[in-house]
Order: sequence, then C-alpha cells, then structure tokens
Amino acid sequence: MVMLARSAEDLYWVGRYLERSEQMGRIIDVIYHRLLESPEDEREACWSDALAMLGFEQSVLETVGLDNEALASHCLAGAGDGSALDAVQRLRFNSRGNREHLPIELWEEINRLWLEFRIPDPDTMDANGWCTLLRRRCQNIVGTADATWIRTDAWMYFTIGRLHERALLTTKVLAVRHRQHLKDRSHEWTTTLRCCSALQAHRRQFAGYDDARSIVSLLLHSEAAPRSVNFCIRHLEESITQLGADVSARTRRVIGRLGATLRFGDPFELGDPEIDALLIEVETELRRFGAALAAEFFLLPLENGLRSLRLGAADTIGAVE
Amino acid sequence: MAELTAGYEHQGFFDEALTADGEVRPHYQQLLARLEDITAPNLVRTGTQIEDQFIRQGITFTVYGDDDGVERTFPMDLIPRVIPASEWEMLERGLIQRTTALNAFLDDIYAGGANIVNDGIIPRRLIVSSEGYRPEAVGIDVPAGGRCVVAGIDLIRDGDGIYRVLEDNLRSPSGVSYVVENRQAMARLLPQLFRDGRVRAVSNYGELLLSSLRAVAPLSAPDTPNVVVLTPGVFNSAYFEHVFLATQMGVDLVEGRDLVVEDHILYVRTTGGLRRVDVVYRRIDDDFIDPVVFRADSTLGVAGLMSAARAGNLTIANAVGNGVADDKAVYAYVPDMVKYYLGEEMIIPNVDTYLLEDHEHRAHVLSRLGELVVKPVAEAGGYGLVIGPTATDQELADLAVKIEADPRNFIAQEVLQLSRHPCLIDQTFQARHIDLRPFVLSGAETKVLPGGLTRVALKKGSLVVNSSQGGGSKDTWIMEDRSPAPPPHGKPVHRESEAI
Repeated sequence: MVMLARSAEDLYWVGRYLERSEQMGRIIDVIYHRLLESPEDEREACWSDALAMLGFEQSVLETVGLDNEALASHCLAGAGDGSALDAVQRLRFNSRGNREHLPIELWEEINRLWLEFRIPDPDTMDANGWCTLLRRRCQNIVGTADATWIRTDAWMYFTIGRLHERALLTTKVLAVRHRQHLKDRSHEWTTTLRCCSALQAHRRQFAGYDDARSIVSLLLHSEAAPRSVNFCIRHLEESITQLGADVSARTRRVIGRLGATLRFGDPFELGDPEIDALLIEVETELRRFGAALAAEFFLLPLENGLRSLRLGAADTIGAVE
Repeated sequence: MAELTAGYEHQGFFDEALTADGEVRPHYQQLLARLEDITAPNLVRTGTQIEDQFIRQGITFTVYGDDDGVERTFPMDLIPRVIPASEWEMLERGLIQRTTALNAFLDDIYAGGANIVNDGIIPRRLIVSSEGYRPEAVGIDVPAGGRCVVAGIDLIRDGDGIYRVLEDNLRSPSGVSYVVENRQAMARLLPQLFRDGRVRAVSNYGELLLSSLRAVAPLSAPDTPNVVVLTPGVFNSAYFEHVFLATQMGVDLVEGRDLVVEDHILYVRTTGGLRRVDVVYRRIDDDFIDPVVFRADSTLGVAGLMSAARAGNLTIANAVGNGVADDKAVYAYVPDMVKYYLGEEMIIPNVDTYLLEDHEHRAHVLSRLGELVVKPVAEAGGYGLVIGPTATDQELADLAVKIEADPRNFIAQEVLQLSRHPCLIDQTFQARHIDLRPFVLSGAETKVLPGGLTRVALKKGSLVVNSSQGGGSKDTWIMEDRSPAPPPHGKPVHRESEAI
C-alpha cells in the first residue's frame, strides 16, 4: 500500500505533535506540583531543567521571571513557537489538512482539544487545569485513534511520529536529569520518573532505590515500559517493516543498529560519563532516523519516479539528497 | 411550538408553506403538525446543538479578508423545505434537459466546430467576448461529452410560484456538502420529523459523483480509473467541502504540489513513487490550473496539466472553459440551445433578461435602472449585483456609466419576487426569501441529487442568499411518491402525543 507522500509526512507530524502536546502537559504538571512542596531555592534549577526538557531557551527564566504560575502558562500557552498551544495548533492544522485519512471520531476529538485549548480563560483555568485538560484530551485522542483507525499506512506514519517523538523526549529527559538522581535526593529522581509516567513501574521493578542507573535501565533499556527508548525503537522497527522497508533500507539499518545497542547494552556496567556519551549517541541516531524516514518515504519517491522517467539527472528536482 | 399562522406575515409574496389565504399547503401539514409538538425553547436548543456540532466537526467555511482566517459555520434553519414528488419530477426533467443542452453546447464550442454559431443561433461575438471562453481549451475532447460533470443550477420561484432558472454554475459549484451534512444533523437531532421515512436520501452523493467522474475518464485509463480531488489547500474558503468530497468518494485529496506532469501524463507523488492519475476533479479556477497555459504566477495548479488533457491522458472535471456557458449573457440563449440540440421546449423557464449590448434593450434598461436588477455577466456569489429599488442615486449613476463603458459586461432582469419560507427566528416563525441549488451530475447518464441546497436570505427583507453575504441554508426534502391519505378537515390524521 502506498499513500500520498505529503499526507504521510503530515500524519507523521500529527503523531509527533500529539505526543509532544501530551508530554508537555505532563512535564509542566509534574514540575508545577513538585515546586508547590519544595523550598523556594530549588525553583530556579527545577524550571531550568524543565525548560531544557521542553526545548525552551534558558533566557525565558529572565524574561518571564521566577514565578511558578507565569512560567507554567508561558510554556503552556505562550505566544510563539514551542508552547503546548503551538503544538496543539500544529496538531490540528496537520489533521485538518488530512481529514480524509482520519476517522471522523478522531478528527472531532482533535478539533475539540483545539477548540477548548486555544481560547485562554484565566478565570476558570490555572496551570493545573490546563495540564489536566491537555493530558486527558490527548489520551482521549490516542484511545479514539486506537479504537477507530484502520491499520493502513496512514496509521503507521501516525504511530511512527508518536514513537519517534516519545523516544526523543525520553532521551532528552534523561540527558538533562540523570546526573541529579542521587540516592538521598528522592524528590529529584521521583520527578524524573513522574515526567515519564514511570514512578510506579520503577517501584514495582526495583523495589527501593539504590542505584541511579536503575532509572537509565528503565527509561532507556526496558522492553516493557511504554516510554522507554528501547520500547519505542522496537515498535518503530516493526512499523517501518510493515511499511515495506527491507533490511537494506536506511531507516531500518539506523533503527536496527540503535535497537541492538540498547537491547544488548547494560547500564549497570557503565559510569556516568559513558552514560552521557550513550545518551548523545542515542539522540544523534534518532535524528538520523528522522532524516532517513523523510528521504525514504516523503522525498525520495519523487526523485526515483522522475529518474525512472529517464530524465537527465541534472534536470531532476531531487538531484541533491 | 406556537401556531405557524400566529403573527406570520404574508406580505403578498408566494409562500412555500402557506397559501395566500393562510392555509397550510397539503405537503407541509404533517411536518408543521410535528413541529407544533416541540416547544419553542426546545427547538431553539436543538438549533444551538446543531451549531455546536458543526463547530466541533469543523463543518465550516473560511471568511476571506480576515487575518486569522476565521472559520464560520453556514447557519442552518431548522424548518425543512418540502417539495412534493410531482413538482420534483418536473424539476428533475427540466434540470436534466438543461444540463444536457449545456453539455452539448460546450462540446460543440470546444470540440465540435461551433455549429450553433455557424448556424446563426448564437452570435460568435458573444462567445469570443465571454470572460469564461478559453481558446486554449479548443480541441480538447472530453469522453461522453461530460464537460459539466457537476452543475449547480440555481432555481427560484417567482411571485406566481413558477420555478425559473436564475443562473447556471458550471465551473465549481459548491454547497453540496451542506446538503448532506444538514440532513445528517437534522436526522440526528430531530428524528421525530422524519418518522414515516418518506424523505428521499441524499447520502449517496459520493458514489454518484465517483461513478460520473469515472465515466468521463480517458479511453486509455484502466477499468478502475484513478480519480483525485484537487484543492487549492486548507486556506481556501470551501476547504471543508473538498475534504468532504474526497472522503465521500474515498479518493485522494491533492494539492498542486502533490502532482507532476511528465510526458503528458499526470502523476501524484506517493510514498511508493509516482502514481498515474486519470481524472482530476479540480476545485481550482481555470486561471490558476496550469501556469504554462494560464496565469504564470499561479502556484496552486500543475505545470503541464492542459497538455496531459490535450494528449488524451487525463480528464479535467469540470472541463476548462465552462465559464462561457454560465456567462449571464449567454444564459439568455439557453432556451435556443435546448431547441437547437434537443428539439425541445424549455421545461423550466429562464428569468426574462435584457442583454445590454443590444441598443434597444440598453436604452430601455437605462430608462428604468431604478426598477431593475443589474448583474455583471461573469461574477458568482452575488458580487457586483445592483438591485435598482434599493440602490442610491449615486450607485445608479455610477452603474449607468459602467454600462455605457462596457455593455457586454452586464445584463438586467426585472426584480424577482423570490418565494418565501417560514424560518425559526427569535423563537417565532418568520418568512424569509429562499432559492434552490440542485446538483446535476453528468457522466454515463445525467442524474439529479434529490433536492439540493435551499439557501435562505436570513436578513429580513433581503433577497441575497449567498453564504458570503449573510445567507443561511435549510434541509430540503423531496418526498417519495406515496400519496398519503388526505387528512380529514385539513387536520393531520396522526399526532405524536409526547413533546420532546
């Protein structure tokens, strides 16, 4: 099965923006609530981490000020690129441009999130309310998609977008936070796990906290935790295979190699500097995967098609890769 | 719901639901009886629910000239318009007749040697001076002569209740999505109105359209031709309709950037390479469709599209150059076309039209400018229309200058007494002017979707029904031909006991 290349790319981004919206809701919620019960001197470091995880500039701390509510609403509904509102708008825009691929129920859920989220009503909504709304709506969207969407290519690209975004974010969370996971600072490591919905899973699996590397093990290497990078990579590989990419395809090679590194690696053998290096490698490879995906499914077909029409190579639109 | 007749003003217009004596017409009796069982606040609440549903489902059009590209709904009035089977049977025949003649005319002009001109029926000058005439399309064949695969023929009823054709829309007539969505919303929220199931369905439009589009595919196309819908994109006012059409047909909705022409063949870019397209149902104007042939600065179209059509590898629907047949001056010749091509008399008459290029007509019109409606010949959507009785002296003086400068660009008609229909406004029934746009599909055979889009001028006293100018719509019911037993003493036989 093939589909319109533009739609495939847009649906991949629908998946990414959906995942990003939900994660932003969760991370801001976790940070906001943690600071309600923390000494004031932790506020700056905590928000600094949050901004780094969410992809904001550190200068936001100065422009917005060290106010919990103000920072939260800046991240949620601030003007400009990168806020949760921005992600929701892009999610809805990409969906609207591809409505014919989405089940009507799913489109309505996405549109509903956008309708409820785009008009800020400070009287009834505080940071807590926004985050709850965002997470619940996003979970509704995911559930509706799962229950209504036929599993053809369109679904695959959407799923790939979600898994890819999630793997990138979990890697980012670990990179920003893992040096702070000291045994005697439980509010630090529990914050990280909460940001990835993994606190309960960690308690069940490790029963107590001895070693910061248990967090790396759960969030990077676990095959069972849905937000672990390894989990995402295994499912990415499956989806790519179902789209018809053979073993020689760049997407499969990039993701397969990365998968092997995580599957056969053991964080308990590594020291902190090696974990830092590993996280950088994972992020780099995930970005390469994105580039390979675009070249293989969104761009290259045009180039291949034109070549097969025996145009001179110099004339083809895609002569440069 | 309060009695329909209470406070309802007749004002001498033809009313669809009531006779001049204030009696409910037979085909409205059952509907109005059922409406009476619903209290006014409930009806208003249902209206709000429908509005919310349209917003939630994104059934909207975009208003131009607004930075945010605000999406608005097309307001739907809750009181359906009812057309009895016998009336519809006549309309259907008339619409098929007219569309057949218009298709024959276009095929004659572009691919048949323009016999109608050579035989002196229509002046050559009128054709070549039409803005919609595209010499670039001469010689391009369309299989089955299906140049207007989709035609929207605007009908009105005059003061005597006689149906007349107001204008033809043969380029990209829009509005059919509202016909289907209005019906769905009505059936979901006011199911009690439909209880005896005699209203003809409209939900199969997608299948009808797809089979018509496949029927005009090039001869070289495979058995199941690849059809796509071409849209200018998400910022277009009618984008929802484009999505609707692609979804209903189950085909790709593409933009110009998704398409490429090589060796006179049109391809769509897919994740698996280029895939051939046989029929493109385009919702882009001629001017923008192919920068090689028409506007070079257009980024909406596809370079080489016309060459693919000319080579017989692609059908563009509706065909390029159809605007010549919905030119409002050419309109006056449609009765002649019907006679010339079909040897028949018009079933649904035109509105009497003055061609301002004609010296006598022009002198007559200029002397009565304040009493007539003047329209530019190539505009759609009610733009540029001047209604004499409501225009200021300055507007009329300006118009006279414009007419003298370019008489070919205008036509004039008597002010029409558009029929009226009860609408739910401020919790009461009030009469508003309406028209009807049925959709006629041509392909292997010519078919009419039962009903069409009833547009309402929601502003009191207004005659302009266009969505871009404050119009709304109504669900339109064509009744099955199963005559109900006549109710005794003019009262409905059967009544629902409980109100909702």
